[in-house]
Amino acid sequence: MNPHDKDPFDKFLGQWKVPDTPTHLNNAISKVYRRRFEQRGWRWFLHGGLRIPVPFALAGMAAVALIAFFIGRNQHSAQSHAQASVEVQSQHAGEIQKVEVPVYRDRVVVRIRYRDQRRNAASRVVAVQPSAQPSAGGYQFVTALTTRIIRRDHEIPN
Amino acid sequence: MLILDQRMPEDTDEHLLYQARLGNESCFMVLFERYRDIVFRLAYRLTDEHAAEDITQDCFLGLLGHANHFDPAKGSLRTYLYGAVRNLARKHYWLHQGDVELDDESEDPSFVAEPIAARLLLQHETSELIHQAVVALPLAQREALVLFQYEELSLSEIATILAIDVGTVKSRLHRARSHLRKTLSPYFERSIIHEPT
Repeated sequence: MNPHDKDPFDKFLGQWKVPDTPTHLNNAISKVYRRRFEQRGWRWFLHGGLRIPVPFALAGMAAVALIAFFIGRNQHSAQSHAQASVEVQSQHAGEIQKVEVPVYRDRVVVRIRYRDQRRNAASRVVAVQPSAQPSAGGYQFVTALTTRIIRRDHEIPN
Repeated sequence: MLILDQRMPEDTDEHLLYQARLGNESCFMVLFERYRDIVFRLAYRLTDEHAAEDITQDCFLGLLGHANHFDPAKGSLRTYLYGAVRNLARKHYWLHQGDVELDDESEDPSFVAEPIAARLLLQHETSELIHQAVVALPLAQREALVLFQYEELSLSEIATILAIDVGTVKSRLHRARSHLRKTLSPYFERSIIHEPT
C-alpha cells in the first residue's frame, strides 16, 4: 500500500519537506565518538563494572571465606604459643640464667593411669626428687628421672 | 546479542557496528552516513530541527552503548533506529513539554487551523502549514502517521516499532488523517483547484 498513489490528500501531505541533514553533524559526531573512546579507559576504571556469572561469583566468595578462615586459624594458633621467660638458678651457686620456655596457653591436663597399682606401689612414682632450688613459676624442676617399663599381664615374662 | 560472524561481509550493518564498538571510527562513520538521513528526517518530523540534531547524535552514540540490544534476528538496524528515534523523541517531549499529550484518545487536536493558516497562507508555505498541523497532533498519532505516510513502513513494521498491535496502528492512522483532513481541508481543496491538469 503506497499512500502517495491512492489518495490526493496523501499527495498533498507529501508536500511537507524536511531540510537536509546538517553537514556539521558529521564533524560533531566524529568528535564525540573520538572523545568517547579516548576516555573509555578512565571511564571504565571509574565507572565500569564486571559481569560475572553467579556460579563463579559464589565460588569466588567461598574461596575468599575459606582463605580468611585458615588465615584466622593460623593466627590464633600462633598466638596460642607464647614464650615464657623464667629465671633459673643453676646448681652453680649464684649463677642465674634466663631461659625462654615455650608454653601453651591452653591448660593441658595429663593423667597417668597405673595399671599395676597394687603390685608395684613402690615403683609407682617415676620421678620424685623435688629440687630444693627455687621453682619456675611455682613448678618444681626434675633433677633425677627413673624410668620404668609398664607392661600388660600377658607381656610379663614368666 | 551481537556476535561477529567471521563469514560476515565487511559492509553489513552488523560488522560495521561490531567494529564501531571496538573503536573503528571509519566503520562508525560509514554506518552514520548510511542512516543519518532517515534518522534525522524522522526526528525532525517528530520534534523540530534543533531537537532533531540532538536526537540524531544521541541515537548513534546510544547505538554504541546499547549495541547488545540490537538483535539482527529480530529486525533490521533501520527498524531498530526508528524505534530508538521514537523513544528519544518521547523523552524529548517529557523533558521539555511535560504536559504534552502523548496518547491518541483526544478527538480534537490542539492545532487551531485558522490563525496559523492565515499567517502561513501569506507566506505560501504549504510545507510549513502541514508541518504545523502534524506537530499539533497527539504524539502517538503523529508517530503512526509519520512512519506510514512519510517513511512508508508497513503496518506490521510500525506495530513492531511502536510496540502495539496492528489494529491500534490502523486506529491511530485513521484518527490522525481525520484530524489533518479537518484542519487542512481548505488548503487541500485550494491545492486541488490550482493543481495543473
